[in-house]
Amino acid sequence: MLDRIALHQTRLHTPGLGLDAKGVALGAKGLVLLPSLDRLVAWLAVYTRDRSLEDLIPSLQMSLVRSKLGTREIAIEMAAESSDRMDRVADVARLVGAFTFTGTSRHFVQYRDAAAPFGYDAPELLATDARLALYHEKFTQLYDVDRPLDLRALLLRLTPQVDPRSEAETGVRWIVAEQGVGPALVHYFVRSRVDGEVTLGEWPSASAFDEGVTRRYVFRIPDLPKRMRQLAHHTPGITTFVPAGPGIAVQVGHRHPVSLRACPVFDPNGMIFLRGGGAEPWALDRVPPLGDLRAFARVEMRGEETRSISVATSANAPPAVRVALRLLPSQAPWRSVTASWIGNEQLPLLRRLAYALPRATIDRTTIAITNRGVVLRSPAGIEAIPLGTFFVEVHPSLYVPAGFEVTPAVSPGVLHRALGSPEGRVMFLDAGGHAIGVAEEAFAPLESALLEAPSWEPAIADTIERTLEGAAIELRPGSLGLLPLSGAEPPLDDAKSDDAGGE
Amino acid sequence: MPPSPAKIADRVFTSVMAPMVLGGVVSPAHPIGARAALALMAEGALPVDSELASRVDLVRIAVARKIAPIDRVDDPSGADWALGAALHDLLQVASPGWMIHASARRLLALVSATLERVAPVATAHEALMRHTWTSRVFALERRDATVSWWTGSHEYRGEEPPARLLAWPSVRRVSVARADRAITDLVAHGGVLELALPWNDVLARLLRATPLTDFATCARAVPRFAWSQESLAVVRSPVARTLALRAAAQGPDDAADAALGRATRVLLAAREWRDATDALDFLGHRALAAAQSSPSWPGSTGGVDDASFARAAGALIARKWIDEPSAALAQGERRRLGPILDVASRSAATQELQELTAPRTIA
Repeated sequence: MLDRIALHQTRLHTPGLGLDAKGVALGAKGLVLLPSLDRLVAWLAVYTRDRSLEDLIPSLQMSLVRSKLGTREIAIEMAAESSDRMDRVADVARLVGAFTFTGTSRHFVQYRDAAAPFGYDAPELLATDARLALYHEKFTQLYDVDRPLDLRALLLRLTPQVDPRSEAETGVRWIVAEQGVGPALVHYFVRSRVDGEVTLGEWPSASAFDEGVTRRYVFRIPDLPKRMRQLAHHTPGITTFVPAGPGIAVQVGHRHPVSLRACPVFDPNGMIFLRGGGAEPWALDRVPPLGDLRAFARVEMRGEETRSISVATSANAPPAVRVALRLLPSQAPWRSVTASWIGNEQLPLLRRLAYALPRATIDRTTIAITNRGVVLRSPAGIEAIPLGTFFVEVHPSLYVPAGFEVTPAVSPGVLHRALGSPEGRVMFLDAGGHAIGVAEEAFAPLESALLEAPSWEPAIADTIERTLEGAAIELRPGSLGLLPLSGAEPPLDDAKSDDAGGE
Repeated sequence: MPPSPAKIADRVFTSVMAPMVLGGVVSPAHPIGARAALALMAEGALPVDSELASRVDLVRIAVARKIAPIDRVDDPSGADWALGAALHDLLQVASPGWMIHASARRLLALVSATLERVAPVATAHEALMRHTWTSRVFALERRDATVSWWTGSHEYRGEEPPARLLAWPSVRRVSVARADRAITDLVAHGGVLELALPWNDVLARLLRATPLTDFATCARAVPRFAWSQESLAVVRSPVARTLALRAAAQGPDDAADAALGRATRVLLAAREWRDATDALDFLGHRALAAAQSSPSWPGSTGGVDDASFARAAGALIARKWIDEPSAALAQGERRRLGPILDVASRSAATQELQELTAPRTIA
């Protein structure tokens, strides 16, 4: 029977059992007792679902243990570290029907649960030489280690489960092709412009009747095009794998029961290909150097009898193929209509229209005055001024009439270069294909060019008013002196009457 | 040895008279007294600083031309000097520096004695000249500052607080509250409080000595406008009355009407018929001018307040004038003004006027 540890209890009977900062009984190790191998796999699958085994691996020991009654069970030992870690381990163990213990060397007591928040203590210990003595609320059992279990070997022995969803996953693909299929696959990838790398792996022969080693082409394709997946997944002799973690990949269409990415037990320099259908994995202890697929493209050479090189004996100017630039009406919608050319005959209209233009339009429009008319430009669109010939900006500083397109259909950049790429000039192509250049500095804000300076006269009324207003009057009384009324005399007549009254 | 009248005149001119015209700092100093002021009036003087006097004259012309089209002003007369000296001493009575209240009271009496001896204006020109000196008397203000710091506070009246008191404002938690004191509030803030009312009376006496300024500032709150022999003498003269009407038109209409109406009511209540007739004539001219300039005059006619009384009384008088042939009004003008004045004269205040002017029965 176990005793529940009370709050603030300090003395424990179980050797190696202590209390951590939270008061929870904790030994140096934790132990999970699992009744069977499938429960072990379930424990691993659940534990690795959202966390890595990386912190457990250094202290993890799995062993097949045998009780005095001859029953075999599986024990996982690990460093307890803290009650937080053990709480996680115990939660997962409870889920898969396993028991969790804690102790240090031989005696392990039940880890805490809801009935005993601070854990358990074994008041009576068994005198035994058994490797493990487990004390549980319901049982006390002695175990000897039958044999250790290797996690890596266990993971490799587990057969991947069928899971078609992995076929649709994107990302890196490893493809292992039999020796006869490999070269054709190389050329297929090269021809299809698929980036990737390839190497040749060697495996020992499976049977004494085989001749030498078995060679297979190993491809690493960063992004296998979707159209090729059917070929790669279902062609006999070609097996495709999806990386499941560093140094391991699982065959497409299958999924390993344990999250291998959380089990860093595989050498990242090697490669293990886990195959479905119970087939044994293919392992490469060290991945041979991978070469670019294009290096293996098929090469073809000319015949021996042909000359190795043909040297030109003279050079002639190529026949002229240039054609004249034309502008043809286009049905394409107008875009970037940001300039208009207004002929001299329409200038009176522009002057009249200026009174109706909104402030924003005048503000953002620039104007250049030429001998053929005026050019208006507005980066936000020139349609607000419905006058003149609209132009579309097809290239910086290159405009063609709206509703026209350039033939031959060269790019605007080429057209600009063909016009000589004049610096500081804005080029306008008219409907006849003639180009007119307007100096960039000729463009000035429309608002500054629009308004005639009205004559004005100074208003002098305000000036007069201000002058008449005068400055403020501020009183700063001076000192009255020690005898303020000295010298301040009454009027003479008052003084005389005072004197007369006094007499 | 008392200073010579010339020195006193120079001090009065530079410290009071010139800044009262040009603007700037008015800085009265040692009191002058009535005898010295009257000596200035008797002997006369000329400003020593001719450049300053020239600038003062230019602004005086500007002030005068608001009322009458003149191009030159006279040199300060003896009465102008006396009024300047009286204003100098009057401002010093309100000084916060008095240690003995009786001295302040005596100085106020001296100012009053000086003003009593200043002769009333004899002509419209003289009234205009005096007005050019005193027209801005109510624009004078004293800037006070109250400095508070962590352990105390001090008030500075008409002077800047010393820099040492304003140092380390955040550490010493210094705050400065400034206030501009009007001329009529000087005694109440730092002066001898018992002299507040007499001081205003003397200021009113000073205004009576310069009647156009009295009319121009009749809308003031303190001291209230009252018909005096000086102001009535002005309105009896057609030329001077025109100037007085123009001067009164410089203030806000409603407040000026209220002040004139209140003062006229006092005359009527005291049954001073001769003076009241002159005052009503003045109101009549004022109403006629208002009706000529605005067809919507006088606006609301239902009130019985002082302003309504002044308008109604003026309209009643003016309505009688326009029917007289001596009014020299065109027939069209009579027809236009008649309805306007009729409306104004039928207001509620007219009944009060009729009651006030009705002969009393002796019980």
